[in-house]
Amino acid sequence: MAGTFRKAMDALYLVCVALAGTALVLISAVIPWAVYTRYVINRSASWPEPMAVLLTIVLTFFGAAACYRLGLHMNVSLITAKLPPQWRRASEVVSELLMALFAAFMVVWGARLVDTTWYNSIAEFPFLSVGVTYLPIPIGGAITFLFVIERLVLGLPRTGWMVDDKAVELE
Amino acid sequence: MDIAILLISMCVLFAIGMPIAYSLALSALIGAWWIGIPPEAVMLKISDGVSKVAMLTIPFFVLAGAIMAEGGMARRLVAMANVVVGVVRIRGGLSQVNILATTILSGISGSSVADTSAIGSVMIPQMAKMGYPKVFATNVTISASVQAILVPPSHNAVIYSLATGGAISITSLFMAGVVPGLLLGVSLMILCLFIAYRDGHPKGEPVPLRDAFKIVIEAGWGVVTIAIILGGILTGVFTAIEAGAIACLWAFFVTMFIYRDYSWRELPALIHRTVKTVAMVLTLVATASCFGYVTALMQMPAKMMDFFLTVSSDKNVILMLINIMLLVLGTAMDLAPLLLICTPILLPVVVRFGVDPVHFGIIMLLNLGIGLLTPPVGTTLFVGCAIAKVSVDEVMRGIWPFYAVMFAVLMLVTYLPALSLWLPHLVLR
Repeated sequence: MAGTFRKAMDALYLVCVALAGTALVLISAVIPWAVYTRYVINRSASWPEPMAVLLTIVLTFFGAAACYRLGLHMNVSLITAKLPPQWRRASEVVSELLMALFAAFMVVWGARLVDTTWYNSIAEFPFLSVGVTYLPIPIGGAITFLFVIERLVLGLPRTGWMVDDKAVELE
Repeated sequence: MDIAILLISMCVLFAIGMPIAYSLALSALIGAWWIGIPPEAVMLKISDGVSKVAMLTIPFFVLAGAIMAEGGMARRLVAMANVVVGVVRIRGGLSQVNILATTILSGISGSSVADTSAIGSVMIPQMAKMGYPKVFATNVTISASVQAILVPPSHNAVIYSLATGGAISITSLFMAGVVPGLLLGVSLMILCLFIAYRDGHPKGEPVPLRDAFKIVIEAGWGVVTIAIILGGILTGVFTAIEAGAIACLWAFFVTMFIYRDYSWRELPALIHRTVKTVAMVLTLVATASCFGYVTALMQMPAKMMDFFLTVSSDKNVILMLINIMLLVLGTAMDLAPLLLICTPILLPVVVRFGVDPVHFGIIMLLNLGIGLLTPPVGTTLFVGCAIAKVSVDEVMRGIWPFYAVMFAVLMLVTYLPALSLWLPHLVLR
C-alpha cells in the first residue's frame, strides 16, 4: 500500500514538473517571438506577453507543489536544528499540518476564485476564461495536500532522479 | 496589536521550520483575519503576485545563467582572465584571475551562489595546486561572488524591483549596481594584492600570444551575453524581460553549438533543475506580495517611521541603523525572503528621509549579499566550503579582512549615493 502510494506520488510529481517545465520552455519561446515580430516582420504581436504571464501561473503553482514534495522551499532551520529529536519531529508534524491547512485554503478559495471569474474572458484571448487561468491555484493546492500526506506518512523521498537533479544555485 | 499578531505568527511559523513562502502566506492570512480582511483578498493578492510581467525576468535570467555557468563558460572565463592578468605578471596573480573571472561571470549569471560554484570548482583546486592556502582561495571566491548580487543581470535586483511593487524599474537597478559591483571587485583585488606581497604568493605566468588569442575568442562568445543584456536594454532595443529571453536563446546557442560541452540528453535535467529554483522564487514573491499587502493595510511602514523618528531624525543615523539591522538579519535568513519582507516596510521610511529608492535598493543588495557569507545561514559561504572541502570555522578565521573591505564598500555605497545613481542618471536620461 505504502509502495503504491509512493509510486502514485512519484507520477504526480512527474506531471507537475512536466507541466512546469513545458511552461518554462514555452515562456522562453514566446517572448523572443514578440521581438521577432516587432523587428523582423514589423508587425508587433500583442499576445506573447499575456501568454507568458499565464504560463508563469502554471509554472509557479505546479512547480511550488513539486518543490514542497522534495522539501526544497527555503526555511529557517536554526531553531529546529538545535531541538532534541522528539521535539524536532513534533515541530515537523505541526509544520506539515499547517501546510495542509494552507493547501486546503488554496483549494477552497482558489476554487471560489475560479468560479467567480469563470464567465469572464481575457482581452487578448477572448476564447479563454479567466477562471481557467486561475485553475493552477486549486489544483496546485490539492496536489500539495497529497504531498503533505505523503511526507507525514512516508517521509521525504530521498532517492531517485527527482532528488538527484539538484536545483540550480540561487541565494 | 495587529502588527504584533502578524509578526509573532510569522516568527512562530519560521521557528517551527515551515517554508518561508508558506509562513508568509499563512501569517498574512492570520493578520488579514485579525483586521477583518476577507480571505478572497489574500487569495487575489497571491495570484496577482505572480501575474506581473516583470516576474518573467526571473525564469529567463536563472535559465540563461544556469546554461552558461554549467556549459563550460566558467572554465573559459578563467582562462581569459588568466591571459589578462598574465600580461602584468603580478604577485598573487591567480587571486586576481579569480576576481576578474567572477566579475565577468557575474554579468552573465546574476547569482552569487552560481558564481561560487562555477568559478570555485575551477579556481580553488588550481590555486591550491599553485601553493595558495585553500582557506584564502575560498575567501577570495566567495567574497568576489557578491559582485553578482549587484551587477546586471542580478536576480535579486529583479526581486527588489518586484518587492517595490514594480515602482522601481529593473533597468535603473541594473545600471545602479554596475559601479558598486566594480568598486567591490577592485577593492578585493587591492586587498588580495596586499596579502599576496605580505604572504609571498606566487606570480602569475604570461600566456603565449597564440594561445591567448584562441582563449579570448572562445570566451568572447559567452561575453557577448553581457553585451546582449546591457546593450539591448540601454539602446532600447529590448525591455529587460526581452533581454533575458534573448540572453537565454544566445546562451543555449553558444553552449550547444559553439562550446558543445553540454549534451542534448542533459537538457531535460537542466530544465527540471531550473524549474525547481524558479518555482521556489516565484512562490516566495507571490506570498510575500500578500504579506506586504497586509503590512500596508496595518500601516506598518508609518509605524516603523514613528519608531525610527524616536531614535533620530538624521538620515545618516537611520541608514546606519538599517544597515546594522539588515546585517544582523542577513546572518539568520536567506537573501530573497529578506528582500521581499523588508523592502515594503523599510522603503517608505527611507524615502521619507529623502533616500532615493534605487540607491536604497543597492544598499540592501550589498548588505544582504554580505549576509550570504555569514554563518549560521550563509548559502554562498557553505557552497564555497563544500567545494574547497574546508570547514566553516577555518574559513571564518581568515575571512575578517574580506569582511572589512566589504563593510568599507557598503559604507561608501551608503553615504555616497552618486556611486549608485551616477550611471542610471547618465544613461537613462
